[in-house]
Amino acid sequence: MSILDNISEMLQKGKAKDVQAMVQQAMEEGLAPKDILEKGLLAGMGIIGRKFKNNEIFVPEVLIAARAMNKGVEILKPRLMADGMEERGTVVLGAVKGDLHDIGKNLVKMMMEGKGLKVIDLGVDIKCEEFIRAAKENHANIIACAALLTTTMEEMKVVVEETKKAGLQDVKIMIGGAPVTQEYADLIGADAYGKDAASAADIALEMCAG
Amino acid sequence: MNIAFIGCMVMNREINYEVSQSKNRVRTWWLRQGLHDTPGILKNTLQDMIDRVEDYQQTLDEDKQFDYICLGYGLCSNGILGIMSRTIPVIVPRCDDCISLFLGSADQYRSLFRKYPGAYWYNTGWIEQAFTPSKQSYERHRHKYLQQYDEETVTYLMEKEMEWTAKYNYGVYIQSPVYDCAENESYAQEASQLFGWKYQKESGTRLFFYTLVNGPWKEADFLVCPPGHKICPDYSTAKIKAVYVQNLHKKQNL
Repeated sequence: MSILDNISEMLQKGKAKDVQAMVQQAMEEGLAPKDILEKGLLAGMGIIGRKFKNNEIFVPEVLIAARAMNKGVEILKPRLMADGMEERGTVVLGAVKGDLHDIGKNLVKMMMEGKGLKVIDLGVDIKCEEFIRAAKENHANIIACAALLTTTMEEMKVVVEETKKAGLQDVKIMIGGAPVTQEYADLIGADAYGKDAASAADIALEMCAG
Repeated sequence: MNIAFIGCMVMNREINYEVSQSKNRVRTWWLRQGLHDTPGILKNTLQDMIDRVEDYQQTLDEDKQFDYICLGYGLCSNGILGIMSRTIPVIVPRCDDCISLFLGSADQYRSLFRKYPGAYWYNTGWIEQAFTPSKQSYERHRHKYLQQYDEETVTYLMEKEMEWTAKYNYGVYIQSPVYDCAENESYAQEASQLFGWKYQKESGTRLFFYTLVNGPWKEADFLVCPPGHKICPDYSTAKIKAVYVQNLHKKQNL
């Protein structure tokens, strides 16, 4: 098993200290920081996101994996900055008005940042106008809305409509969260649906590139 | 009329009360609370239970056969979408989740959702059947994690797990119309105080539960999903609609 596979596996087990040590070792062995991030840390976190979505693991496992990811990134960050990691786009992210759940949203943030996207995380219970204001101020490519409740997911429709009304034609809207589906995204005219954290990051990257 | 009721354990006191008073003959099947956290599993479990009721129906004398299957579920994180019966009409309340059922209507829930932004809801059913945030329940979690993780990890997990409580504003206790329990009310009050939430008390009503077991199921409040139709999302305040399924024999594709 390669060291990158090991990093991914230790991250999935939430072994923060092992992840730290192996990331350090990988750098000393001369592996590119970008590869350590993408093929080690992000690969592991992507699997965690999918397993969480599929109910194979639960909140504690996600939290300790996220902690391990952060520890690994801490070591990589100075090198990534020194290598001049290019910014690939800007995403304004938040849970919609009335929704105070953020575990999924935080996973999405982690995956998007890992892909080189700048994420403006507005937090939870975000009103439509706050998404729009942040998108304007930061010249965002994407507004990404999360919702965990069927009660609050209707707010996503408001964000789509109001963003169009505000004249932000170039800003794409993507949505996600447990009750959200591709069918719902199509119905409300959202540009994309992220079925889990890793897919959301991949789609966001594609949209920023395109 | 004969009814097969399949519901979440969270409402067992309310439904059992209605069943005891009903002119209908109601047989109840209960599923554990918390399946809404895993909507895919809720869907499979519920469908499996409906299939079993339909199989059971074949063994019953004609006068004992079920006229309807009534579900004690709302949308419940969309866990009821795709559900169907091949032979028995299914009755489903039009609401997001059981908070509406306890409050008596989806409109009342929508109104209180606006009145109490950032509310955590307590009642006897949740306290008895579910995880509800409190000093005692988090102590139990901490103890459980200590069996699995080191002290530092447990402290981190507990901090993360309780982080959300700082974002909530209200602890709302719904008083059951069929079971008055001062102990549970105190539990909700103490938890609200612990997390710095404003404590509120609202009265539940029997309306949704009574009607679910007795009818009549008005179109505005209930979906009557005919045999061979599946429950589909409506994305309006109606919440759900019935959609005809072709090729019924291909059960695995439903």
